[in-house]
Amino acid sequence: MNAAAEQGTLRNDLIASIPSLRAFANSLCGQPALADDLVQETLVKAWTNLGSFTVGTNLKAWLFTILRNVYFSELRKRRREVEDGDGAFAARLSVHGEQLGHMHYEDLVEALGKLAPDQREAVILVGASGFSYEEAAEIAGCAIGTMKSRVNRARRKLSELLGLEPDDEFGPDAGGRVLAAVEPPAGVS
Amino acid sequence: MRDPKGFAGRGAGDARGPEQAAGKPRGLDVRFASGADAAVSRRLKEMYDGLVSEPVPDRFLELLNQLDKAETPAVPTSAPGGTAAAGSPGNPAVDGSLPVEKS
Repeated sequence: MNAAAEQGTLRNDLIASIPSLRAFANSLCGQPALADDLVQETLVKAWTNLGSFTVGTNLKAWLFTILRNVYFSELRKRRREVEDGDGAFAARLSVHGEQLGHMHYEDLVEALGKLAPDQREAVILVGASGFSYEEAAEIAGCAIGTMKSRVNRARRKLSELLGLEPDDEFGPDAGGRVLAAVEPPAGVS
Repeated sequence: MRDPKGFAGRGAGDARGPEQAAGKPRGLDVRFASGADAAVSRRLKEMYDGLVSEPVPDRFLELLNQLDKAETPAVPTSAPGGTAAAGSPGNPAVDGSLPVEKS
């Protein structure tokens, strides 16, 4: 009975973790369909390996660890298949040309996709998921110092890619570009 | 998931220079010290929080229901060398380690 109750609680905790897992997966791979596959595989692995989870420890970190391992092993597999970069990887998997979330984040998703995967993971875990450097390092299986430097490099690179300067936090004026694009060329009647 | 307002505070505290730690007003002034970093962090956090708040597709609940019916998972370890084997005769793979694929 005790075990069954414990299992029920864990099941509820698993369900409660799904939104975070999906956010993590989407941020990591930038592909909603692939992200949900990653989450599904994570849940199956978590369920069949619940015995290796120690009650009272951080379930979310445990699940994130499983998901990132699934993702990185998938990434390695794809890289072995086609020896090219993230762009081609993403293009191959972008079957329906789906956009992640709202158009508002398109440039951010694109910039994330240009980061080295370990830097992308680092900045998501610490900068978005709210893990401490220590927790993030444990999830990624690296030293804390390595995690800190990955996060810093990722933030710097994202700033560059998004065209963010200290005096211009909103970058190029997207609205201006749109207006310029729809303006008819002079002389066209 | 966590307080979005806590993010700016944490961002300023972890790896920023002393400019922000000195208690300068945030908001618009944040751009002077490390505006680009703060903006990146804010956007990332906004996107992530938006993703977290998306509704969960039914497939995941269905999946867990199926898993529930299909097999009884190993009982979680409550203590080292605990009762992990109970109720999981069909799961010899559980060895106390994370289900990590070997690289």
